Amino acid sequence: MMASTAVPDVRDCLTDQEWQASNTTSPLSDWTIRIESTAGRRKFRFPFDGGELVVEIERDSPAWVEPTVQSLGKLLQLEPDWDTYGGSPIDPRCVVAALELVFDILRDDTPAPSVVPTSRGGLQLEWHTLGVDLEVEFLSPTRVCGLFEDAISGTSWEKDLSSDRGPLMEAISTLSQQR
Amino acid sequence: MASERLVDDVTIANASELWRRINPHWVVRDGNSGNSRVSSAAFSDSADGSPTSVFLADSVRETGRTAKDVIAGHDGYALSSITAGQARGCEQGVARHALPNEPAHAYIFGRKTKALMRCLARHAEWVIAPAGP
Repeated sequence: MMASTAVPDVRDCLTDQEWQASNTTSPLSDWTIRIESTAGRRKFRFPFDGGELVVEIERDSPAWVEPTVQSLGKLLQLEPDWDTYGGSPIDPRCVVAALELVFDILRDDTPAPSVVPTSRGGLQLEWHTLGVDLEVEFLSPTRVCGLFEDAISGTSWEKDLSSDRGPLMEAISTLSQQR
Repeated sequence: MASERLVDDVTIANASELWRRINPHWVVRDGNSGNSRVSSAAFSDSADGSPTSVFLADSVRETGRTAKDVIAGHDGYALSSITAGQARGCEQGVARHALPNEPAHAYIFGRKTKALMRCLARHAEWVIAPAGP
């Protein structure tokens, strides 16, 4: 997977306490998502206010890749107040960080996550399968926290995953393996 | 709003229903139950720092409205419900916060860790279920 962005002058990612509804963007309703196909590869273009996210994937990628890329890219179309509670547009750099994470740690047999925007401009990846509940939230591109519950083993944790992805990789392994 | 001091309102009975409008992005598939469910993200505080907004179902009804009226004009939205007692069981308080255009408005307030938001989401039931997969 290759992802590139051109993001001039978008806001810095802040801690969740520092997030404000300011720096909102112009309406994006006229924008479209373009999908280009070339031999052996597919390229997705996700425009957003101030730039464009381009993701190129191989045609024979694991099943989770395309729906996850599409779901993440579409978050960039959310307008201010998208949740009716004053929600902020999703920070493009959180989307890129999530793409980097999933391509780093998901296995070929990992189910596709649900991709959920958060009101403060971040996003969340969720899996609820095989008795496992796993949520990974991007509060900012560099601030990531997770919640894991395994009904079968009785294991559960809530952790800051910003600098240590070990627990997350273990959780991904748990929900990927056949039980 | 973030600096306003809120106090758990004991006149809101534990059995009182609290309705929360659910954006379609907050509906996730749950392979463990086979049903759709509300994401924990739906129960975060608002972007401006104000607490989680809800409608007091009793107050909605007192104004002659129904659940459908709460999501009217919001295409694709669903409506979830938890009780005030369930919110309190998730270490939250519940306070009336009538708005000029919405007398039934209230807050679920308190520190919201991921586990506590998930606690709220786990209790949520559909009043108006999301449309289709």
